[in-house]
Order: sequence, then C-alpha cells, then structure tokens
Amino acid sequence: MNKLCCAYLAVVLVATGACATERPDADRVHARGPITFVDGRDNTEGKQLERLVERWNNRRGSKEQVTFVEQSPSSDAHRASLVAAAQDGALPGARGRCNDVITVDAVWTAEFARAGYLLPLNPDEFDIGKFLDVPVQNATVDDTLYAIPARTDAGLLYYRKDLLEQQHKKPPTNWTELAETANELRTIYDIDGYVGQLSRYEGLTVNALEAIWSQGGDLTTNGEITINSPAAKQGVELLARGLRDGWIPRAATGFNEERSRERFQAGKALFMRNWPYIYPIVTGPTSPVAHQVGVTTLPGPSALGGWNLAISPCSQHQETARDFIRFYTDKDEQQQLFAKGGFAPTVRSLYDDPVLRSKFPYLDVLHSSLITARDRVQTPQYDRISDLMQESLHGALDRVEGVPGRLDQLAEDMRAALH
Amino acid sequence: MSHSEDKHASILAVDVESYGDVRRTDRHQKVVRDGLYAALRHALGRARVPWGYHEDRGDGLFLLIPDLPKRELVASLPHELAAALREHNADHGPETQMRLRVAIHAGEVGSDDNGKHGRDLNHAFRLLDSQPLRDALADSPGVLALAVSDWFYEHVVKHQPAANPTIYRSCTVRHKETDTKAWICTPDYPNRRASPKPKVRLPKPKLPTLRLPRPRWQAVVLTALLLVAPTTNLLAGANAPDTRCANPVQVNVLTSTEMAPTLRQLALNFERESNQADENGCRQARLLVVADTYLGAVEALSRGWSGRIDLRDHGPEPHVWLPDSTIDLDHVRTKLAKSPGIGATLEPRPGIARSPIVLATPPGMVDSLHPGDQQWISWPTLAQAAVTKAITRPDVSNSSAGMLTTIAYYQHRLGEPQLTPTVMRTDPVALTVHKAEREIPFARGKDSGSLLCAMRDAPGRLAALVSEKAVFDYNRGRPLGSDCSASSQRPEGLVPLYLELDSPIQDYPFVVVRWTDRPEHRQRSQVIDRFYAYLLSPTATTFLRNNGFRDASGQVGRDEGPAPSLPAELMVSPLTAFDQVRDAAELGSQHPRVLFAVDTAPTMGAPFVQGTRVRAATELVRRLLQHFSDADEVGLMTFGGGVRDVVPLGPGQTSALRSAASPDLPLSRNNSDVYNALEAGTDRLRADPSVDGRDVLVMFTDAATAVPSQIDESALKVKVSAQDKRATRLIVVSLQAGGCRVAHLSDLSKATEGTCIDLTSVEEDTAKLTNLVAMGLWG
Repeated sequence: MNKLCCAYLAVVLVATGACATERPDADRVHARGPITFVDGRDNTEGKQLERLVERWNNRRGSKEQVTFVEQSPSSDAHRASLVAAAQDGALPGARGRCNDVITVDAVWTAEFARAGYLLPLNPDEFDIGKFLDVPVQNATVDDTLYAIPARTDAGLLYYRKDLLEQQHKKPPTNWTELAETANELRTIYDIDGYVGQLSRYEGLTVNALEAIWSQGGDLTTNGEITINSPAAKQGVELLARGLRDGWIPRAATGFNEERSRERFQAGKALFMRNWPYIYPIVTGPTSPVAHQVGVTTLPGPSALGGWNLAISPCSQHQETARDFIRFYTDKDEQQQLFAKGGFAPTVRSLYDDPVLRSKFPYLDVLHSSLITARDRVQTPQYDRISDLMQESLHGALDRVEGVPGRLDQLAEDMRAALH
Repeated sequence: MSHSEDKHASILAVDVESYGDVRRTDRHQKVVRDGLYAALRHALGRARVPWGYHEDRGDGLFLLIPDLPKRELVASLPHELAAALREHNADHGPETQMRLRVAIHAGEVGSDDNGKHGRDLNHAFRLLDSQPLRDALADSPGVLALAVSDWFYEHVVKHQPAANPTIYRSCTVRHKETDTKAWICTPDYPNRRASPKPKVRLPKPKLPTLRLPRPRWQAVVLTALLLVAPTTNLLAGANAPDTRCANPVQVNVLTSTEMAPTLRQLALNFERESNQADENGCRQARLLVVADTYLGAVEALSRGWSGRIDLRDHGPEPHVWLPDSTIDLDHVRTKLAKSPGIGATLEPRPGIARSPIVLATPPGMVDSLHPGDQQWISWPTLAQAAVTKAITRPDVSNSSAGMLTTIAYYQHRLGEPQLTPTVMRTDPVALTVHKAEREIPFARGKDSGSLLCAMRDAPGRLAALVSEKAVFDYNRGRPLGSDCSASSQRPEGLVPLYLELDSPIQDYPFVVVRWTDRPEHRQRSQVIDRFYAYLLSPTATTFLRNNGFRDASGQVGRDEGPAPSLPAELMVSPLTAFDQVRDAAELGSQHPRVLFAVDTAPTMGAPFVQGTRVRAATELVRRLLQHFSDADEVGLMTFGGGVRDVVPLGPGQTSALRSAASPDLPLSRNNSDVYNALEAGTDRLRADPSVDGRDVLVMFTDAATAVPSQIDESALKVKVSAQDKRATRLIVVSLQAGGCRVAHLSDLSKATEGTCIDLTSVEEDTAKLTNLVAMGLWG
C-alpha cells in the first residue's frame, strides 16, 4: 500500500506543478460530472461499445453524461492522438478538452504510466481480485496499479473445419503440421493456406514474436537482446519460408486484422491467425462461412493483447470516471461485450460460467490461450522497439536467406536504441 | 571573420534543470532566469570571484574568468551558490524554483565575430550536458550538482582541502566514441551515494519509496508537501518517475496518399538523426504520418477536426499538414472563412518538393498528339485529342492532382482565367462541364498512383493526366500508391507530355496547424521547425528526388532520365470556388435521365411562327437531343387522348428517339390532359430508383384544354416535387402565350425547382432551353 501512497503523492505533485485546473485537486478526485470516454473505433457487430455507453447514460442522465469519442482503428494513430492530447493537457493554461477515461493498449500502459499520462488507481476500489492475473500484472507498473483491464486478447487460430474434415485432417498443433496441411489443401481448394497480420504495423511485431516464441526464441532474455538468437531466426524464417513456398500469400504482407478477416470470411483462406473479436463476425448471420469456422489455440504461445481503462490527470470529474470504469468492468457488461462483441472478458469467473461455455464452445480455447499468453516486452521504449522490428521484419520476409543478416542488424539497432 | 585570439581563462558553465519543462510558461522562465542571474551574482560576490565575461545560453550561461586563483571556484563558491538557490526557492512556487548543474574547467578560449569557441569551452559544455551529472542532480535532494574536468580536479581540487576533494567521485563522460574522465559532486548533499547504474539499459526506474502510514490522503499530501518543499525541487519531483529520458514530443503529420510513403521514411530518418544528436540518446520526438484523401483532409480541417467522427475516420489532429498543393490550403481557408469560430489556424511555409501534372501517354499514342520536341503539348491540342482518344484524370475529390487538373481543364473549356463563384454561377457552366466530363472523365476513387496502377493491368489503351511523380514510379516499377505493390515486370514506359502553358504543378507546402483552444506547445513547435529544416536539407532533398519528386528548385532525380525544366505554371486564384468546381464535376459526370413529353392534341396543329406548335416542339426535341449520348437515358412520350410511350426511357435510345422525332410527331384526335401526363411522366422517371441522379421531364404543350380549378393542385405539387432518391425537375415549354400562368404550369414547375417558359420562337429560345435542361441535370 505504501507504493500506492507514493503514486498518489506523485500525481498530486504533477497537478500542483502543472495543470492550471479549475478545481482544487481534492475536489476533482471526488467530483462527479460529464466525462469523455475515448476508445478505438467500435468495430463490433452491432456497435456494442456505443450500446454500453447508452446504457450508462440512460441510468445516469445528463449530470454524469458520458460522451463516447472513437479513435482511429489503427492503434498507432490512436496512441498518437492520446499522447498529443496528454502533452497538451499538461501545458500551463490548458483548459477544456480532456480525455477523462481512455482505453490504453496493454503494450503502452507502462510507457503512459511512467510518462505521467495516467492517474494511479486504488486496487480496492475496483475489486481487483475478480480479474484475470495476467492483464492485472500488465496494468501494474512499478508496483502501482494504473489501469483496469477492460478486455483481454489472445490470438486464436481460426480454420475451415469443413475442409479439414473432408480431408480427414485434425487442427494443427504446431507450425510443421500447419504448413503441411496448408500446403496440401490450398492447391486442392484453390484458397490461401494461412493468413495473418504481416503488414508493416504493430500486427507484424505480434505475428513475428509469436513465430519466434513457437521456436523457443525471444526478443530479450534476462534483459539482454536476443532477437538474433538461432531460435529467433528460425521463427522469422518460418514466416519467410511460408511466403516463399506460397502457403502464406504475398498479399498477406499487406494484411491487418480486418483485411485477413475479410479474406477468411469470403471463404478464401484455410487458416487465419486473429483475435477473439473476429469470432461473432465470421460466424454471424451474414458471413458466408458462418457454419464452417473452427477455432483452436495458436501453434505456440500467443502475444497478450488487450486494452486497459485508465483516467487522465486532466479529468475534472474523477469520481464519475472511476464509476464508469467499474460499470464497464462489471460482470454483466463484460458478459454482454463478450457475447455480442467478442471481447474476451477480463473477469475470471465468466470463463467458468456454464451458460456461456455451452453457448460459446471456444471459451475454453480462449481461456487456455489467455493463460499462456506472453507479454511482448515491458519497457517504456516499447514503441521504439516495435518500430525497429517492423522496419526490419517487413524487409526480412522478402527473402528467407536474408533473415539472419537482418536480425543481426536488428539486434544491433535495438541495443543502440536502448543505449 | 576576424582573427582568432586565444586567452587562458577559468570556465564556469551553468544550466537550469528542466528549464524547458512544458509546465513553465514564458513568464515562469523569465522569473527563473532573473533568479539565476541574481543568485549567481550574489554567490560570486560572496565568494569574491569577479563576474568576468559571460554569455547567455537560454537555459543557462557560461562565464570566462581570466586571472583568477582557480581554487576560489571550488572552495566557497559552490556553497554560496547553493545557499542563494535555496533562498530563491524558498520564495518561489514550483514552476519558478530551480536546481543547477555546474561544470568547471579551464583552458584556452578563442573569440571571433561568432563568439567564444575552443576545445576547452566545448569540453565544459560536454561535462555540463553529461548524463552522469544529470543523474547526480536527479538523485540528489539538493539544489546543485557540480562537475569538474579531470585536469581541474588533478591540478586544483585535489590540493585544496577547502574544496573537500573527498566528496568528488570520478566518472566517465561519453561523447562520440570518446570517453573522458570527470569528477562530480553534490556539494549541498555530499554524502549521498549515487546508486549504481543498472547493467542492462532496459530502464526500470522506481518511484521514490517514502514510508508513510495510511491516513487520509489530504493530510498525507499536505505533510509531504511541507516536508519536501524547502529542499527539493518540486518540478523535478513532479516529473514522471522515469527521469532518464523525458517522453518524446508527439508530432502528428497529415499528408496525401501520394506523399505518405516517402514522408514516413523521411520522418523516421529525422527521428533517428534527432536521437543521435541528443547526447543522452533520448528520443526527442515521435512523428506519426497519416495519409488522407484531398477531400478527407480538407473537410476535417475545415471543421476544426471537431466532427464526432473526425478522429475515428481521419486520425489524430494534425500538427503539420503537408498537402500536395497550395490549392488544398486555399480550399480550407475559403471554408474556414465561412465559419468563424473554428479554432484552427494554418501557417504555410514554402513547399518541400514539386511535381507537374503531365499527360502520361502510351508510346503508341504519342505521335498522334504531335507533341513539340516529343514532350510538349497544349490544352487545346489535348482537348481536341480527347474527342477521339481515351484520356482520363484522377478523381476531383480524391487528390490534389484531381482538383488541380479539373481547375486547369475547366478554365480552358470555359475560357475563363479564374473559376470564381461568379463564373461558376453562369449559365454555360453546367453544359460545358458535362461535355468536358464526357471527353476527359475523371476516374472515380483514383489518385495519380492508383490510376496508373489500374492502367498497368491494361497498358496501351489510355492516357492520363497525372503527377509526374506517378509516371516516374510507373516507369521504374516502383509501388504506385498504397495498394499497388512494386512490379517485377517493367511495363512499357509511359511518355510524360508536359503542358507548355497553364501547367498545374503540385508544390507540397509545409503547413503548421495551430489549434487556438490550447496553449502553444513550445517543444513541439521547435521539433516542427527542425523537421521543416530537415525536409529542406540536402539529405532529404536527395531522398525526395530519388522517390520521383522534383526538389523545391525543380530538379529531378539523377535516375529519372532527361526531363524538361518546370513548365509555365497554372495560376490558381485563392478565390477559386473549389466546392462549386467539385460539385460541378460530380454532377456533370452523372448520366442523366431525360423524358420528353409532347402534347399531340389537335390544338397543337395551330400555327406557330412559320410552322405549327407541334413542329416547333419536335424541332426543339431534336435540338436538345444533340447534348445526350447513348450512355444517357432518354425517352419520348406523347399525350393526346391518352399517354403513349413512343420511345421508352432507357440508355442507348438516342438514335431511336431521333428517328421518332423526324419528321414531326403526328397529332391525335382527342384533347389532352396535361396534368395526367405530368403524373405519368414523373412515374416513368422514378420507376427505377436504384441509381442516384437527377431527372428532367421536358414537357411541350399549349395547355389549350387545361383547367386548373378541376384538379387537386396541391396534391399534384406534392407528388411531382417529392425528393426521393431521384429528384425530378419539370421544365415546361408553353406554345401558347400566357399558357404558363393560366394553366398554373409555372407554379407546378417551380415546385420542382424547374421553370415554365412561354416560347417566343425556336431560334430565339433554343439556347435558353438548352441551358435550363443542363442546369436541371448538372447545375
């Protein structure tokens, strides 16, 4: 608890030193009033985030109205928007617009917390014990809680169960099996073998790391950069070979989540790596492959994805902000967001819910993916590292033979970037 | 430069910690500077050190003191200075409190017109900026951290018990591959040991651990503030727990789909260079480059980025906008001027590159255009060629190239030097634009790159007005736009033909966007200035040239082959009616649906000028028909007794209609019901609502037997004026003087935003009627 005291102290100091605020700090901490809620684009079937905000507004009325502001679906742009707003909000004399409650990607949480963009939170006020452990650890920076897990994410392997059944194949459990099946069936059915997210953005970092982990490699080991270890090279070579041999289409080097989802949903891919939110869409009534979709775990550990809810220091109505976070992470809301929007819940007990389990048979698969999911890397410099990875990997995927050289160079660049 | 003169002096350099912190306003900074000078003067006076020569460095200053017993600098001065600083801090709030880093060295210092210089002076600055000194201050609860050079320590400090040499610890200062030794201390907190550096530099700093019980928050905070205030710099304490590097300043850059790939690379290079320039390797800035279409950027900026979905659909608010052309900027300014109160101001700087619009021509088509020197062409030749050859251009809404080309093309077609709002309101615009769009249509949804990308799949058939940059990319097999990857098969090159006069030229201005609802972020402004300077640097200029752009002086890249110098530029007035040009292009490119309805009652056989009423009507149908092609939907019905569909409405009917209207339409035996015909015509036009567009019903009648009092006029008005997916305009030509008024046909047509005219003669009224129809369809 001492750590928490310190964090509170730091925040009050931020406020005294910085913000020209309209209210004394203690007032803001306990004040209620209208707030803004900032999240990424609501891609869910039926706009489930909008619905959630509506439910809140219907209950609370205009005095504690929540205005929902959607950010770009590109997480880089979402991040840039939040950072610029936080930097502007810290200027003396800054007034007006404040992103009271924001959703923060699990990978930026440490950076945002250390930069002073997030208010520390008291775990007791949020019944922190009810959440899954991994996302809570992710939202805890230097022993202080800065955010509440809103939705968690782990990659899943979607597949065409009809085609696998026709060929008497089982869903693959490792990359070798996956490559073999993909190679065999893609010619029979004239479809893509495997699609993932290999465009030059955060998705590429995730896909590459998962391939690296599956071969026993990692980005860092005991604090040392090991992106050029033999195992890591094997991981990247795996993807490069897939592209060379054709079971991953070249076009996938331009795919993000949505592009790969469209491809799969149109019946043009056998395997797809994607997040859980895709499930209700590809199995939805308008999906041409609605009844042919199978889901299993990735052929290796998944990267931990997910989004946390946090409060900006500029917030004038922090009591309402905290209330809204509690509302968002309430068991009922989490259940709705999962059932209708496909967001994997952060509340542990939902994974044992018998009704949910019978309705969503892949809940077990999801749970086991989540508990084995791995954090990408916890450092405030994450975005720099990811930038370097994307830059290097996108080129590395062009030629299998070029992979080792590229990764040696990447390791050197990373060491230089981190001093 | 005057000659240099070296003098030996003691060097004392001073820097205020976190001077540029965003939380200090200009006023705060002034208080801090005044305080710094006062404290220094006070301390130097007390330590009997003369003030010497000094130079201000913004966040600090340096002093050169010749002829001074050097021990004075390290004996009592540090303590006097710390005391003076504590005094200052006790009287000031957190934003105006300060802590200092001080570096001391001695050596030869030269001077010339540009000020003082010399290796020893540089060395002192290096010590001052070094990470160990910064860390020492960050770790100290005191107000002062002092670094002395190895030479100074060995020759002065070590031999001065008054300087307390044991409180100094040695450390290594790195600078550009070279390591030098220095000695550091915190004189006002001498016993605090610096924590050992972590071996691996994945930074993981901890919050200060204060052990406090858990009482009410306010009490804790207040007590803590009281405890900390007298000795600690609150600003430093208020900093994010990570003291190693401040979070980089975020700069969001909006640009075009054409410029984005190149600019992303330039932004990365700029970030890298800035990081290398930072002695501590801290990231100074992070740039995000977002691409948008012409209209997307223009509209979001004109709304002040405040639309509910602007952040979602257009990305973060831009701090810098780098459009393809100054017209983008003029367009936004025109729109902003109409809605005062939108808090965005745009500060343009001269462009970073150039690219003229050229006619990208398949080699097989070049000779038939008879270009001068095989590379020059004029607008008249181009417009002439477009009658028989397939030529296209980018979407007017999608890219600056599309808008620029449209303006140039329309100016030529309309014979107007400027497309002001007045010009765009004149009668001939709708028809001329429609003709222009028929001859050089724009390719919907395409910018220069994606247009050529589409042409790469079917080469040789089409020529296109696109940016020279896109042609260079095409010819070198580079990626074209974001969706068209590089091509391994080099297609047959396209020949760029340059417009010898009134050539549109993209000029890529650098526009700083300021939002008036928040204070200026000074560090961000500095980064933006540096980024602009970087974009004009030789490195960036070469990079732009290698990516198919011309540099700001019009030079092309070495590998692009011979290219003429920039052609004579089209001048686009900032007063251009951009919105109307776009609307005209959109409407003019639509395929219309026109139904002619001719009254064939016996009364239409009455004489009219030199023939009969029905002859005048038929002649007008024939004349109007000239303006439609087989892509347009036309039809003809007659009404006399009942309604008869002579030529059913549909595409490809122009020749059928022409023969039906030649010779004159035959008369029927029965009287006509003009109101019933009106309803019937409207129904036929609206029968297929699947396509958006405009319809015109052109009715010719003498209204001889029309009795308005016998109909439910208001119900008829509601019906004909209903604006569903398709809007119908009614244009009535009355062949009997006063018919418009008497039969209430004026009222009815006005209800549809149409007109009724009493015909004087075919010859006199053809032009007027043509314009009315054109306005109804494309105006």
